[in-house]
Amino acid sequence: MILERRGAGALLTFTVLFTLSACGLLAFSGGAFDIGVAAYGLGAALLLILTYGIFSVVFRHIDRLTLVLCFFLVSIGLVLLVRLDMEVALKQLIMLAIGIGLMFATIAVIKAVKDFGKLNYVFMIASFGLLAFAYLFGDAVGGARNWVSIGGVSFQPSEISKVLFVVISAYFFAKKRHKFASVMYALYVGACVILLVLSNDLGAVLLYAATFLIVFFAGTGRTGLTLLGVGVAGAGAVASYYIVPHVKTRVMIWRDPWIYYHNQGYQIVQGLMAIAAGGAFGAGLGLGYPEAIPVNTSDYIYAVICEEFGIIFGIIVILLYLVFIVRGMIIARNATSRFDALLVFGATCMLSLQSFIIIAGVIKLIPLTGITLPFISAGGSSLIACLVLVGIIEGVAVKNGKRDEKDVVDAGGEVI
Amino acid sequence: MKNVLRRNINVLLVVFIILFVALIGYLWFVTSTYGERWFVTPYNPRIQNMQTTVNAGDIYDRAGRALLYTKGGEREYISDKGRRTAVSHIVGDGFGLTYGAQTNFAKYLYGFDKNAFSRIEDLVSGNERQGSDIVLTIDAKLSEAALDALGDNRGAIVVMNYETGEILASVSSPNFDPKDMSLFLDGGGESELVNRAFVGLYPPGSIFKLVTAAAMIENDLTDFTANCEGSVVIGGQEIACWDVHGDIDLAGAISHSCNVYFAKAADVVGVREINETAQAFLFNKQLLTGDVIMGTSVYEMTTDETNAAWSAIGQYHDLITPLHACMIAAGIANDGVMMAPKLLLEVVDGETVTYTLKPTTAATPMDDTSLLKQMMLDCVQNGTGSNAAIDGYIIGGKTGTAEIAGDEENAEHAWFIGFVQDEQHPIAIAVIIERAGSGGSNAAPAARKVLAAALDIGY
Amino acid sequence: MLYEAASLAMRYWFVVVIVIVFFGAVVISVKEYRQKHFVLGVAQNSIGYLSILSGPDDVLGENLQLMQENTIGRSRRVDIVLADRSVNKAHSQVYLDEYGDVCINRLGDGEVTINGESLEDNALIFTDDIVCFGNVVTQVHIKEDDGDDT
Repeated sequence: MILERRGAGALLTFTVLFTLSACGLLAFSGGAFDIGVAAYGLGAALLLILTYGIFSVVFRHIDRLTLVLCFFLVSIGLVLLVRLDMEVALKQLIMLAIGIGLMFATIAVIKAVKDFGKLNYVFMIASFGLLAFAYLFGDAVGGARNWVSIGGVSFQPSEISKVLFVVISAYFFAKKRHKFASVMYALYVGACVILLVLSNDLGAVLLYAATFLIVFFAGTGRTGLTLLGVGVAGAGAVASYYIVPHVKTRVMIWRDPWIYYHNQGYQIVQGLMAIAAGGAFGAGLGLGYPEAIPVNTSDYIYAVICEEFGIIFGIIVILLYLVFIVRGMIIARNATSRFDALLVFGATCMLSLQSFIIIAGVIKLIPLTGITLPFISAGGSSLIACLVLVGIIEGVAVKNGKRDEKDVVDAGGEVI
Repeated sequence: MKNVLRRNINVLLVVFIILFVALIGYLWFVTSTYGERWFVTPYNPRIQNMQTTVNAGDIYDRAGRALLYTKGGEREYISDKGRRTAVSHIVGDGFGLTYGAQTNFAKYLYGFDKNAFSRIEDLVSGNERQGSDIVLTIDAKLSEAALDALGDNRGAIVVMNYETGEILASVSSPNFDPKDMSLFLDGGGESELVNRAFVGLYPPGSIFKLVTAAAMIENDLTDFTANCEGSVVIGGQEIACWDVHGDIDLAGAISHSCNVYFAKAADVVGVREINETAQAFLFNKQLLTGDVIMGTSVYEMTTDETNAAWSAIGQYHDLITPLHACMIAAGIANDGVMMAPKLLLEVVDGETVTYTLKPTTAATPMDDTSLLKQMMLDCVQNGTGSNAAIDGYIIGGKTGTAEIAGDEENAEHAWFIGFVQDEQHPIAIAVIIERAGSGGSNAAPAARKVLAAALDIGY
Repeated sequence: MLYEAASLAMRYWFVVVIVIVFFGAVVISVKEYRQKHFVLGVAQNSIGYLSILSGPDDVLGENLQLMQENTIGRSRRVDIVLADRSVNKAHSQVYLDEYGDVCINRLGDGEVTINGESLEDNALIFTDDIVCFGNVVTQVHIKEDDGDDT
């Protein structure tokens, strides 16, 4: 009896080919051959291959397919950033390297610990503190006060906080906690959401609230209470429509962005035009006009994907996120403990909700809330947070793999 | 306990799959339905951007007259100012300020429609990127005649072929000169850039009575008669008629445009039924034809009996675009089959024709419009539309005199919609002249001039 | 410009790549899920295994999984097939008794020895016991009950 662990070497090959061919093409975009761009592609490809190699040797049971899916999405982002802005692309590559390092550390930590125990209270304070810090000292970028810069390095505390949020939530729903703990947790969630509302970071509000409700449902299985929560959140959303002017404009723009073209609707209209400009196969890498779209490197990068790579490519990107989710959920189902299951589940939900919220916002299915597209958008904090979340998923996958291997070996089989 | 968790995870996995599939479905639906429209907006910087890199195609009218062409890399309008301004709303401007052919058919003019292989071929062979030429359905000479018929008045005239939906002429006054846009680029001007014919929403006034009449025919109420004493009080408000018609039936009420008859009929037919018929006539519906960007006409159902009566005679909140009014006349003339309005006759890439117009219907055909058609013929023969009659031809029509809510001082908008009943000359027309007074004495003569010109050319 | 031509042509390549990655991911996922489901199903339900120390070539050196109840013999209808002339068609039976111990018995006149001693009726077997079925020599491995499956 042999359990064969599936590699994803073939898919990694295609990921690398994609990166290399796209960068090779872009190297010619200026007319003459730009060695810098080609070198960038080579560097990125090497980083991915190296990471894959090291990770699969060090962590024998890592879910290699999930890792490669994440790499493919990352390389779409790198390629587009090279095309849009080389400076941002370089920064992104450095952040990718740091993120991969942190992902490695996360896997090692998750593999070793049971559920962090009392440390969760420290996490709670840290997570809340980060959000409070951003609210008090942050800079407003694009209407939301969620950027903090220390010593010339600016980052988004809400991104770090969201990783902690997943860990803390998993801990509190893993088993029945004392009253004190439950109250603390409820206070924490409420305070986070209020702080985010005050900072005008609507995307994060949506993300935190939805993740909380989903993990709550998975953890407790109390459908009635969950629906009540959804109702309260819905009522909150409706109330904020009347109370917070920012929300009201967002909704109005969503209903008809064209009449607000000259002011707040500009961004979404430019996005829609870009999506329409691509057609099925896209305008061609480097041949579109994404310069017209504001924040094309982060929130609006999906519109750039649709313009230059086409709608078919755009749809498959959504499908890749879906495969990623399904794999995450399978890892969660197989987890060895409730904490692990909820941890992976929370991380997967966080990433999938985030991609849903921004893509649906860009294509005008729901009102737009500023949030990054996981793995693809530029933004160090965002990329690192996403990679750490993948680290959490992979850490649990490693635990599962170990357990499975023990089962198989006990029954006289082997895992190759 | 663990199994419960697994079950919950399964449930949420299904929820996520549904969400993402919905996302993909929506993306697919919305780009295939609205993609083209999103692209061809004057705001799209890609179109302006293309002007510098692509040799844009020429624009011709249906008789082969050039309206806009590229010469030595420069875009040139025709030198005749009268003709240039007569077609300016249809051709559009080069700065992305209006929805003309230059924006609407940018896809062809700048070669966005060409497939990758022919583009690669062009690029490799070193040819300059060349857009396709387009031929519009309008006739520049007829457009000039139509603009002439409007005189100094504000308003719009649309002429179309009711069998194919081809727009033969569409003018809107006041208009602009695409050669000199400096005033508008500085943000000046009044409403010159608005194409009243396609997006101008006017109260329809009495021409809406055709819809009410259609609703009566639909619901077998053709026998309904009323007594017109010059006015009627409904819900405490007086609705006046322009004459005392005495006992009058449906046919008479259409040809003499009796307000009292239709105000009384509103209650008999019911707003729900009128609304249904109005929807069949494409009120409250956005029409995505690809060729024209058109405003959405409005009929509002109301439970208030006074407003219901007003809305049955084309007042209250009723609104219509001149193009839609023309389509209604065309639909009745074409035995209930309303054709979608078309502006693009042909696309020519070098020597090859890559697109030719294919007529399509705009709405599901109506049952039987022969009665309505007969009433419209009567209206011109011996009713309010007599000023539109042309010797040797059978003309049908309906006049309208639309009051402007809250403005009793100035004159009403004058409407005339009509058609020529002749297999050789399937043309329909809509005329609106703002604040000109009665439709019969102001719009109908203008319509006659334009129809005569069209017949003269041979349409 | 040549770049434009190249870029236009490469659009199709990019779409092909993403389609391959997507379908590849789906196919791998499905295969992996099925295999894991099957193998782990067997692994988790097995009570241990017999490793073949000497016997027919096709099973030599392999580990044969023991489930709750197993018949052993030469026939194709038994659970564990030992294709050796010295083994009867239905030779022996290994099963979990009501106390959770693993028990072995003889079927018919099949010869079974445990650690060299001939089996008369039935007996309990434990890890590292050497059990012979005819000329086939096997070593017993019984899974330790770590109690987290219940």
